[in-house]
Amino acid sequence: MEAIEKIVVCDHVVKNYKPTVALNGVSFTLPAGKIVGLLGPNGSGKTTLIKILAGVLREDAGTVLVDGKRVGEETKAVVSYLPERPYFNPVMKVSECVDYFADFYADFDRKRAEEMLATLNVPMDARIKTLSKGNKEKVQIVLVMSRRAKLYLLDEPIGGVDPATREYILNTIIGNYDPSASVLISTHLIADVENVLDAFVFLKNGEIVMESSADAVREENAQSLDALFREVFKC
Amino acid sequence: MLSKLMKYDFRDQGRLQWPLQLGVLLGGILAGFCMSYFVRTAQMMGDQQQGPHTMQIVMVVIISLVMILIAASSIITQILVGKQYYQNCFCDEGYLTFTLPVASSKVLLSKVITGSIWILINLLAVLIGVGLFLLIGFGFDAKISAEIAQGFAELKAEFAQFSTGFDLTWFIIQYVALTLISAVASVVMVDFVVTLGNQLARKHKILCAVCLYFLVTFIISAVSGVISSAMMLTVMSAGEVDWNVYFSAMNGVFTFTLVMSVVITAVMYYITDRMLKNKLNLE
Repeated sequence: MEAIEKIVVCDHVVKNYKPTVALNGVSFTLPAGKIVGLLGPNGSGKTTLIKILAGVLREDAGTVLVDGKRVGEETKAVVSYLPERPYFNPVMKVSECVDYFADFYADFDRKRAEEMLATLNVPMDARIKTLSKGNKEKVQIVLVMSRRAKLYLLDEPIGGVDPATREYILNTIIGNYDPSASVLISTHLIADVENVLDAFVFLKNGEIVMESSADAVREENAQSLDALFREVFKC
Repeated sequence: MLSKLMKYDFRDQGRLQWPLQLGVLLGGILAGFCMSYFVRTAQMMGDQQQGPHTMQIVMVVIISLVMILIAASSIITQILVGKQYYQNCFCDEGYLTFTLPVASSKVLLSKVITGSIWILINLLAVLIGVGLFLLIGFGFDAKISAEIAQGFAELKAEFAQFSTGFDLTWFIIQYVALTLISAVASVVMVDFVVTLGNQLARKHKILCAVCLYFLVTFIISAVSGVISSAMMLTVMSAGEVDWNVYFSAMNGVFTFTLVMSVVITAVMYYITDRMLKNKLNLE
């Protein structure tokens, strides 16, 4: 049986928030085993695309396949999604969040999650609402990255936290994901993530304006991804 | 997966529901002791009492407030059920709920089952609370208890005189069935209007859901009222009306109400399920 090499296949995906067109016929593929940056300014459609892949939005037109299947119950079992907002009930304790993930996700590594939370000094019996914003983000990223998923969808994982936490989150992403899995990171903080990216997709007004490997940009253009981003999206 | 969803839904709701239902029971006990005090002081004072004294007024106020709260508990229970559904499905928690590896139909089924269980728990709490109120308030007094028991016996005898064609057992079965169906129907109704409100409104989704709730309730009440009245009139105008005919007509209306509840609930459940499956758009 042929292995699926493309973990994500999007074909002419359209999503409207009338009167705005959030995604305007986006077509791209995400290869297995790569860390890809979904980059673009605010309102470019990054979050919309990630939400469609995660299954919390429905595309209005086009085809979306994850691991060769339409987005649904089966794909959610192999996709680990980190939204840009906290999604736990604030009265839940950290330990209850760990139990929740362990209950529903067969690929969740509880021991790893508990070790990472202990390293971060996040008290297991603390309620989510008592944690600082940074700690809330850490709890979510730890739980998401403690899964042995085929695809990690990280929507603005480093926005709104201090530089030290950003570095920790990026190290967690690199250090804890399965090399055969794919990671799609949506962010507008290019300088922080470009060193971890294998490839990138530039999104503008719901359309892909450029996609390439990060190394190609550095070698051929002799510039950083951040510099290229500023050039492409100059106001 | 369904059992896991139900475990977390039940636990999530329990944080506020358990204190509420416990409050109903404690309220019944408190009101019972207040009534007991009122009755005893009235008996002690007897004919010498000229108007209620201050403590008796206080007791009556407490009893009234507790009874209002007990009655309101059913509405509060329903609101908490709807609140949990809305927050868990259409607010930030929805990003967790709908990325679980479970079908959206199971998410809905879990919410309906756990919500219905809480409605029934509240019903039980109210019955026990009122029961405790009566038992504590009047039950310890042998004379009053005997008068109440005699009253029920006289009512039963009078009822038996007229209800020769009335099947009490079947009526109780239907009533229990209607109670169970109503519990489910009320939860499905709330889930339906919340889901539909989320679809129709971009802003003020809760307000939209509340308006839809009253609209749908009005339509269902109006249609069922017209049909029930027509059924009763048809039967009652057919010929000479005796108690047999009357209870037969009532039975028919009751059965119609049951069937209509089931059909309407099933339709709303189906539409809600379809909306969650095909129209979920978390923003």
